[in-house]
Amino acid sequence: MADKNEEHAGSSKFQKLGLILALAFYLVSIIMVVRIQKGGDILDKNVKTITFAHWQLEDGFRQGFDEAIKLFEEYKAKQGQQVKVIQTTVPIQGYGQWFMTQLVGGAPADVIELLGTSDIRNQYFTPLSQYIGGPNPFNQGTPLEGVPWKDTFEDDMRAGLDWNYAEYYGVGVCIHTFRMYVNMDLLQKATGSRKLPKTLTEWLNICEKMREYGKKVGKPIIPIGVRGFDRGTLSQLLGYYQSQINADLNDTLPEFCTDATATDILKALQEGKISKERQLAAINIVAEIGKYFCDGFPSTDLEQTKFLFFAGNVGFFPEGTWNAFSMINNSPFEVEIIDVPVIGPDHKYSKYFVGRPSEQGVGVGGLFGIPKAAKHFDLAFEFLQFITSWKINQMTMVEHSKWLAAVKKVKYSGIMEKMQPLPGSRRSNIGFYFGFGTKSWKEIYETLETLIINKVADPQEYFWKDFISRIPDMHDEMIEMIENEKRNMINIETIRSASALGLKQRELSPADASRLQISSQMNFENLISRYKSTRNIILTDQLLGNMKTGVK
Amino acid sequence: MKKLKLMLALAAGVVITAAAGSNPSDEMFQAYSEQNFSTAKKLALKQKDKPAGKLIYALCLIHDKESQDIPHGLKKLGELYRDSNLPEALKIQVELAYARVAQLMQDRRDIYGNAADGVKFNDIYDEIIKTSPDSLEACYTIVYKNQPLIESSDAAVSAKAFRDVETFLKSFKGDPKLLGPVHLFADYEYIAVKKDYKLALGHLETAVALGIANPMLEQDNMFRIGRIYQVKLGDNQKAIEAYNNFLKKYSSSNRAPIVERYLEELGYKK
Repeated sequence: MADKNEEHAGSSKFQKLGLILALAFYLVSIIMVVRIQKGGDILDKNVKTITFAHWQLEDGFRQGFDEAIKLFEEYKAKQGQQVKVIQTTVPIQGYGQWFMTQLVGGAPADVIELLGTSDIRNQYFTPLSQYIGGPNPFNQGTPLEGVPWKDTFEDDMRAGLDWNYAEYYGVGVCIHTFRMYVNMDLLQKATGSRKLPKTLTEWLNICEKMREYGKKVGKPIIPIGVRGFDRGTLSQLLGYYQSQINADLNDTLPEFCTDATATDILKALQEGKISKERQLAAINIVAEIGKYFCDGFPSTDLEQTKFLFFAGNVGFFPEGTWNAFSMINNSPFEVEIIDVPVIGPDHKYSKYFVGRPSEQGVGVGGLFGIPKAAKHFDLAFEFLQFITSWKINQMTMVEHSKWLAAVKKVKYSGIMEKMQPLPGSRRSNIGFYFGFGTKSWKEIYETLETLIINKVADPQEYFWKDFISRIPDMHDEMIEMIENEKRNMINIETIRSASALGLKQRELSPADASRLQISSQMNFENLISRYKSTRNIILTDQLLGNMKTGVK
Repeated sequence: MKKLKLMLALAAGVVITAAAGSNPSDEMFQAYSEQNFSTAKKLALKQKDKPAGKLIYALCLIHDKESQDIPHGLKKLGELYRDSNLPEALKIQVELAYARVAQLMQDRRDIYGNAADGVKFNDIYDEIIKTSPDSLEACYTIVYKNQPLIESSDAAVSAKAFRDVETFLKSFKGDPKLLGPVHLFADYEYIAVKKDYKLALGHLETAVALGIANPMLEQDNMFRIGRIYQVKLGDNQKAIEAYNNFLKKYSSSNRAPIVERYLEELGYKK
């Protein structure tokens, strides 16, 4: 009996200890959650913590920002402020869902890589327009000292502008160009030479030799590697060759004397001012190139192609420069980076060739914004300016990631010189105006895939017939686009009334008044742009309808 | 007694100062201007008997996408519009919002049916232009009203709308900077409807001179000035001048190499 009582007393003590420990852990959890909610450090409430989030898993990116973060924290410490910046990476496959959950949940990262539509950005992100006119203080002592922040970017912050809301919601950290990675080992073995192709014909001749070489040695050789799954390669090649053939139309066709629109092109086609053959030449070219893709290319994704390239099975891989570092680092052979070959004098479309379009001012990517729900806006904003300063942007992008920097006045050397924007023939790009929305573009790519897989004899004619058959679907798409523009009109009225009533505050600082006035004017200017856009859609729809009935 | 009176006066002063310092309307307008509609609505309900509160509440019904009820918002705006005690300071905002929302609803009968049919928005627009001709709201009004009329298939209606816009621009006595977007509107419509590049260019140049707030739009429009001179009007000298003005301001833009090519083609040497 006494033993049982002792046993009972012992277990009771353990139960009490367990309860005390559970309570202690519970209290510590509450403290941690509250501290983190308030943006402080777990153990030190004086430390302000911000989170920097993105999806970039490419070699060097995170390491570059680790170093930038260290420098920023040191800089703030010298100012007497304890700051901690946490870098979070979420793979792109899951990023979209994570991004929305963060925003809707109300506790997003403070500086976050942008995704989402205009409406998402307008609803959840702090507009930055009021800040872009002043200089970036972190550019003091550099070639960009005193320059307005927006003018320090290679594209003057064009990529950060949301045209629907006429607002800047993000700033970018990198620029990328379209290049081709070459397996020099395979080139040498297949052709007996290291001579790199400059023209389309030279390129395809080498591809044929690579294929023959593969058959000879019994090795599966893919002359041209492809991002098939997301149609990245098809999209790049189509746009690239379309511009080489038709970019001169930007000089003569545009009704409003800016770049040619769908309306300009389709009207000119109808009136016989431009030929169908010329407008669709890029289709034939992509079909020609597609002969050297691998079997099953539509389901090949980027990682698979990179793997095949590293394994020595791929000769050429046309792709963006965001992969340059990993392509060179991970290949056990020499990799060259070249411009994707242009149409040469030896090609049947040389008669249409107007030159390589200019890459100057190419859009900045890797946009980062600050959610409205960010706990420490001032600190987040300061960090955003820090990472887009001349010195730090070069450090993270050029030194670590081997990417082109977003800022101006950067000198490149070595392999990065080959990635720099080219002036080309000093023409701007022109669109391929046979697709208008997501659905019609999806169908264009499916048609291109069919042409390539089935080795269709007359790709242009096949494409044209398919395009004509899809006009009713494109009409539905146009109707939806017009409805979208009507929805935009209420958004414009939202901003108009928001600015107007904001100015009614009795105690309004001059800075806030100026911000509201700029927002009001940009919004009013946007109204006119939206009228133009709506008219373009309506006219394009009419022109498509005429094409269907064959009426001019 | 004297001391007591002095203390009472001081205390009253403190109370008045405190009351003047707290400004619930400011808080409400600020929340609305930040499009923080849930907060704006809550603050508006606290002032639901005041015109400002009623206005913000009505606008939140229209613009808050999370709980949007445009027809109900329009109804509330209509009540305010018909309120003869509406303060002058808010009148123009009520009028413009009421007319514009009604116009947009009538344009989307597939969604709103005839909910806004009773609102003669053009009459309200005329009222705004008559009573506040030099305001920003009048500038919006002249565009809201005339955009569908200018693009009417009836030539007489279109011609009158063009005249109304020109008359408005000439007689405007407010801050000229407010007219920038109206000039951009005129530029666009002269090309879209009349293909009159000379008249369009006049308005475009004025808009650029007044200042375009959107830097991308400014770049594009400065580029267009040169192109219109060269391609549409055949005035190469003016085109060269315009291209050089563009390069002075936007030497590193994506259009700079293209403009440099145009200058070379025109035989211009630096």
